[in-house]
Amino acid sequence: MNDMADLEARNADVVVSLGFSEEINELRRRIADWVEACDPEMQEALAWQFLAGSKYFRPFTIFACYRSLAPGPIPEQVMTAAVVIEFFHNVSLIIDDIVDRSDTRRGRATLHTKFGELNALMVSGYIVAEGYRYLGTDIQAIGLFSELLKRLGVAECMQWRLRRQMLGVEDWRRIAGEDTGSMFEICACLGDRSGGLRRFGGLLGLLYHGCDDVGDVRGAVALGGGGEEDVRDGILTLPAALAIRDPGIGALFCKPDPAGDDLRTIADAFAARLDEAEAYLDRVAAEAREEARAWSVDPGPLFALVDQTRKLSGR
Amino acid sequence: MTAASNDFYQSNQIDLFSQLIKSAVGAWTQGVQALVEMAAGGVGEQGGAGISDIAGQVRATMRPLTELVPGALEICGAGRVGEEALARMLDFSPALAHAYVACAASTVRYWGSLAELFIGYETRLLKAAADRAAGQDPVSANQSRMLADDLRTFLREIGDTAAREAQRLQYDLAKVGEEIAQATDRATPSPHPDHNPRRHEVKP
Repeated sequence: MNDMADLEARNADVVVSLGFSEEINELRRRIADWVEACDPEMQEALAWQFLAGSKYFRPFTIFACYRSLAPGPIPEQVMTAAVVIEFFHNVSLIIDDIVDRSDTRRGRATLHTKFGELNALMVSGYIVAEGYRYLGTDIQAIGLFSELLKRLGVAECMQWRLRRQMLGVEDWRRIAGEDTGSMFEICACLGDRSGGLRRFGGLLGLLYHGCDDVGDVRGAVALGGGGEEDVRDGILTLPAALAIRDPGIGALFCKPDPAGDDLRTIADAFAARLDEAEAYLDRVAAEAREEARAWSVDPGPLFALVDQTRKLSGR
Repeated sequence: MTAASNDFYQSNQIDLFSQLIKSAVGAWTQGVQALVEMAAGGVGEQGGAGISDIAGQVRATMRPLTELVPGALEICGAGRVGEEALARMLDFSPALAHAYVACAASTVRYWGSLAELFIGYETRLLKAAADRAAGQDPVSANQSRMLADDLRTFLREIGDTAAREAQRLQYDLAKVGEEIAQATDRATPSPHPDHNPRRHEVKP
């Protein structure tokens, strides 16, 4: 099976295990309709970015948070928010890919590789403007999306400023909490509209970020590599925060221009901390389940989200 | 960093760490005292099972604390003085009693959660402080980093515990408030022909 087909199959598994098949189909239809209604100059790039391979974890989070408090169909306001969260998530992916100099995502060329950096940047601005237009008069959602964009911007700057430094797990937690954590916090608020599940969302985002960090190292080990981009850029991932407690590894991690051997030593040290990282993530997952139990009427959909997210580390 | 400056850094970090532990234990003692004083501050005459339960929970919560703070159980024993006074409040108004019980239960849960945290971190943090005080086992740079991380986690979790409990208390009190509003609505319905009975539910 090729990468793209494999990704689609895994995404289909997630849809089945979390439910909401109809809602996800409706979401896909709305996004396709939206792309078709956009300026023809932008349509090809938007179709490239949106019409393949998303896991839809963020819309799932919105739907699950709503359903954990109220039975019945997903209301229009919540569906609209789910579409827009997918817009904003893709903006963050486009920027991340440019910053990380990534050539591929979801098994195909990244937007800036395919259409150039200027187009990718302009498309991301276009999507943000369209997102706000799409929300119409939902003032609460507009406020939440504004909070999200600001926090994501701050998190990216903070993460970049704090690279190649001897920091700890608590620093990782702060960065991850503002980066992926803020995204899922806002998803929870868009779903519950009361803020009761905000902390659950933050923990789910933290779990997602950590599982992604661990999954990168695990995947890199399986492929005989070393989680290249984050290691190369000295980004504080969860395995990194654990590994650099060793002063020798810390010194290599902080080197401004590490050699190939240094990168391999660092990658091995990260891999050696995977069990510890998994144990940490188990505790975050337990915290998230506790929050779900405390602040929902039916925590079932939220437990399913936590379980699916926990699998992302590839343990 | 030279070996000498590294020693200086670690030494000062651990002294600061010992002081933080002492401050945390001091704050804990003051919290217990505040809890007891709050319980002793009520007025009234009749007892109630709910209050006895809460007082029992307080004592159960405080038991592990005695290992950390000598004399805490004695402080807790003084709380019995307040049980009857608290129970008498229950007759004053059922809604007020509900609110009072919600606040008292919240306080107990908060201190119980803090006790769990203290006990969870006690081994690593207090042992390090004690070792330092006894001048044993110089702390390596690696251990120093782990201790710093543990201490930061401990402090964050204290803050998280307060935030979580505040949210829960807010919810419990909002439910009591809504009960009062609905009871008032039923007792004195509006004479307006289109009067709609209040159906609001407090969401989690």
